[in-house]
Amino acid sequence: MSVLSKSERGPAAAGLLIAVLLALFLLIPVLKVIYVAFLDPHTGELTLLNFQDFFASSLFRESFYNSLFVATMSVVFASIIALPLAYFTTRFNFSGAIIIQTLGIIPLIMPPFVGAVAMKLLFGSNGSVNLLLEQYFGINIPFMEGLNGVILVESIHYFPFILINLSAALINIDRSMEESAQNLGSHGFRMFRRIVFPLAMPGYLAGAALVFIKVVDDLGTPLLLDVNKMLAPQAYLRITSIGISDPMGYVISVILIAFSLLSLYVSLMAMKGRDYATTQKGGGGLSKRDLKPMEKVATYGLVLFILVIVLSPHVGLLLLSFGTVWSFAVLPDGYTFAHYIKVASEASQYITNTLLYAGIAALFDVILGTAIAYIVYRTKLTGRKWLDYGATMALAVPGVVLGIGYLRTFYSVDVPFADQPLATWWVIIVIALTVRRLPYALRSCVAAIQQVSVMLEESAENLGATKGRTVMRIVVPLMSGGILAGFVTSFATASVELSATIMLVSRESDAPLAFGIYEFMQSASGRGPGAALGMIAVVLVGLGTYFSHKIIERTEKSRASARPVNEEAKA
Amino acid sequence: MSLQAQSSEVVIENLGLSFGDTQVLKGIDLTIKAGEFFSFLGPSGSGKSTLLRAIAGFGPEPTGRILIGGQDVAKLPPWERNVGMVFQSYALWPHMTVAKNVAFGLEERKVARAQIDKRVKQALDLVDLADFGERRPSQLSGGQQQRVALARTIIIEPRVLLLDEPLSNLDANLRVQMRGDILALQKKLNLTTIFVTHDQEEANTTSVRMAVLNHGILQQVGAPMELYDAPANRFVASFLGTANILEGEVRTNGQLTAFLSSGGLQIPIRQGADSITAIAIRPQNISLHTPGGGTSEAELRFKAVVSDIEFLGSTLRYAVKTGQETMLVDHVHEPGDRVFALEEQVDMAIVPDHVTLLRG
Ligand SMILES: Nc1ncnc2c1ncn2[C@@H]1O[C@H](COP(=O)(O)OP(=O)(O)OP(=O)(O)O)[C@@H](O)[C@H]1O
Ligand SMILES: [Mg+2]
Repeated sequence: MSVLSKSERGPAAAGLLIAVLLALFLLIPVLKVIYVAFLDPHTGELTLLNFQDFFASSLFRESFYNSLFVATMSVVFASIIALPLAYFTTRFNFSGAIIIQTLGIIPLIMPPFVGAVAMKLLFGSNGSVNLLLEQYFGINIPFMEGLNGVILVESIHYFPFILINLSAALINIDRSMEESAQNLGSHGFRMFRRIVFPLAMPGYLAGAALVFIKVVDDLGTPLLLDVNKMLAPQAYLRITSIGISDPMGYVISVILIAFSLLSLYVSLMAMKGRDYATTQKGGGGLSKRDLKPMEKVATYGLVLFILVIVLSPHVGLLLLSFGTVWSFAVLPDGYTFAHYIKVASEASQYITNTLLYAGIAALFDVILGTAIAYIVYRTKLTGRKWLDYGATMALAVPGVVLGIGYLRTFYSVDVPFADQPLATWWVIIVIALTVRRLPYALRSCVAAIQQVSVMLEESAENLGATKGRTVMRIVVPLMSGGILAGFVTSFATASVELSATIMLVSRESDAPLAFGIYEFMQSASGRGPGAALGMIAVVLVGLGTYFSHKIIERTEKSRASARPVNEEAKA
Repeated sequence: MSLQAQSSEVVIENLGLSFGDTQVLKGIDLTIKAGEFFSFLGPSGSGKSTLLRAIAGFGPEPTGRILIGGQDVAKLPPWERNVGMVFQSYALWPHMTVAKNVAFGLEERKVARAQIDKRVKQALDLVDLADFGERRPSQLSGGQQQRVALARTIIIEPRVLLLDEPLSNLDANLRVQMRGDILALQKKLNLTTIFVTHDQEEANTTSVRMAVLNHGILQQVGAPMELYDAPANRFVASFLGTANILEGEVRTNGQLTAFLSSGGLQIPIRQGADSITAIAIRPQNISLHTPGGGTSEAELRFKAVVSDIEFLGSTLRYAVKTGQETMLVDHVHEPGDRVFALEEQVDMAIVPDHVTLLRG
């Protein structure tokens, strides 16, 4: 199509601009990183030498295996936690829906690194739990030693990804799938294993792949637990200590991207040809039954036990933020507001920076998200799908990689008036946050636009409104709930982003909250204030998430009552 | 043929079932003979599926007894009942091949592998799907999926075969064909079969006997023709085909007993039917004539006026007014026949023997 109709010119221009931005701040930096990984640092020729060097070094080999091991074990433990919860809440009349919803937001409102230090105080070799175990049983379990600690912290933070995906898959299984198995003589765990679980497999794999990616990419947790022999920390340490010309950081980045793509590929393959959404006429969902009294006790006991473990980082953080001295003791010696006061007086710039950065990033995210959603779902522009793919691609790019890419690409780009390279200007942090959280906002906007009936737009055009006016007066107002939800999600998750920002913060005064928490947590004396800062972040993000849920709920309600009749019949 | 089920009799005694506070089945008493093809017929929401599912052991626990081959199964879990059920949606497991689906029941019964393979082949042969074992259910047509669901069920040699509207997802032609196939299979295996449908034609053509349900209450049980010719109550009369139902009462005047409809029609009936409160007459049992023609002794004639005409293809359906009653009358349509006009005066003829007396 060489000639665009008049009504397509606006969207085409917007699409082009977005494509340029995505290329500039996502594609080029990532390609640059990959390119440099294959470049001989001295001669500038293409080579595989860097990869040879990488695998020749025992430190890097060990880091590689450690990352694989930690990610795999985290998936295993996350599954162990998620499976029974998903099973109980979908199979029995058990007020678990609330638990799932509540647990589901944990990975969003508090990234694992925030609770990592608190976990050490609770589960470390001199932590509360081991002190009690020693006192009563004379044993000391190395929960937090080395890789164990990373696995524990990661799995209790990220298991909700499996729980949510698996539960959704279980709920979508038609009752007759299970009944026909019972009818043919199967029941109990055997039936679960042969029929129910395989049907829920795609959902499980999607969740497991997500956990795997998150764990491989996580930088803050291993750093705070003093585990440096993993891929992400190695990349960070190489770049920050040796410099951006050292090829190893780039090699590791390529490996991280490969892991990301691999897990995405695995979960896509698992889904392929298995469109198992089997709900049909006659009531979906597995049949639920009431628990017998003994079963009830056992089930609630187990769920409570899981809850206690899952909430321990939060409890630990709370104790730490109010505790005076906490060392070699089950609980802190005393309680105080001193950490909060200290944070308020000395570290308020972290908070204001975060509000500014995450606010701007989320604003751009919803603007870009709305534009992309409109172009993809309401125009026929060639290549429009690629905007969606491009923006979503950010999910597969680890934060460390994006950070390294920006440093490398924008170090030589000087910002006029600011008198410094773009790579060290605070705006680059905002750009990184915008790019990393764009997929979240985009999904909200896409969901919102899909609920706006095209008929409503057509009737506006029929009454004489131009395309642009229709978008402003009909589409955006109708999407507002989804846009707002997208804003809040982007804002909340951007406020606690660490892995890209940690590479891009060039001076203390520009640093956001997550960086501040990380800085404080480095020293023993900074733990209290760090925890206080962490609590502030949790509250900030928690409130945001709560409101976005409320907004979605409210718009869905008003939608339901205003939906055209024919669409009701379809549902 | 080794797939020979030991067909069993099903006896349902005083069965009741509630979803919470709503009672969905009430006092059902029913005997289904061994090897019989039996239908549950009734309008939507009448409780057919609920009753069928109760026999298979699904849904809330009912009160009363369900005996299969003399054994009370009402308290048994579904997997211990050995009744085969084919679901309306077929419920084939998408993650297993056709052969795996069919083998499932035998695997659960810990049958030896070689034996399973042999019987799966037999079962697939039986439904003409011998070459489809390695396919996924999603690669089959609706009719083929239906046959896989049948094979999967009969391979376990169930004591009873339960079919819940098995044909409702198929298009019209296939429906007729599958109906025949199911019937042939049932005969071959001599399986006690219960078939749920709300399509009368389906019930009439397949079943030896059927039960009509309404609001969870059993209305009547019998052979299709019996039910049609001698409906027990207003519901059965009007649910099975079309019927003119006249409300009224029985009057006795000396030797003469007659039914007097509230619309003023008087029809002599045999004596001793005092509790009759309505009568039913099928439209095809009434005829219209030009006034003044000769009458036969067996029939009664009433003056009437044509108020509506519908051409239904094989029949012409008239609505005529006589007294306060409006009656439907069907004439078989033949080319060249005399067609009465709207508002035309006619004689309406009824043979008293064709009148059904209704109590309930
Ligand atoms: N799970 C349930 N909870 C509450 N009520 C139910 C449930 N299932 C069925 N019912 C009620 O029981 C009654 C009988 O339902 P059933 O499904 O047996 O009807 P049916 O005769 O099979 O109808 P159809 O021809 O539409 O399939 C209906 O009034 C229905 O609303
Ligand atoms: Mg039904």
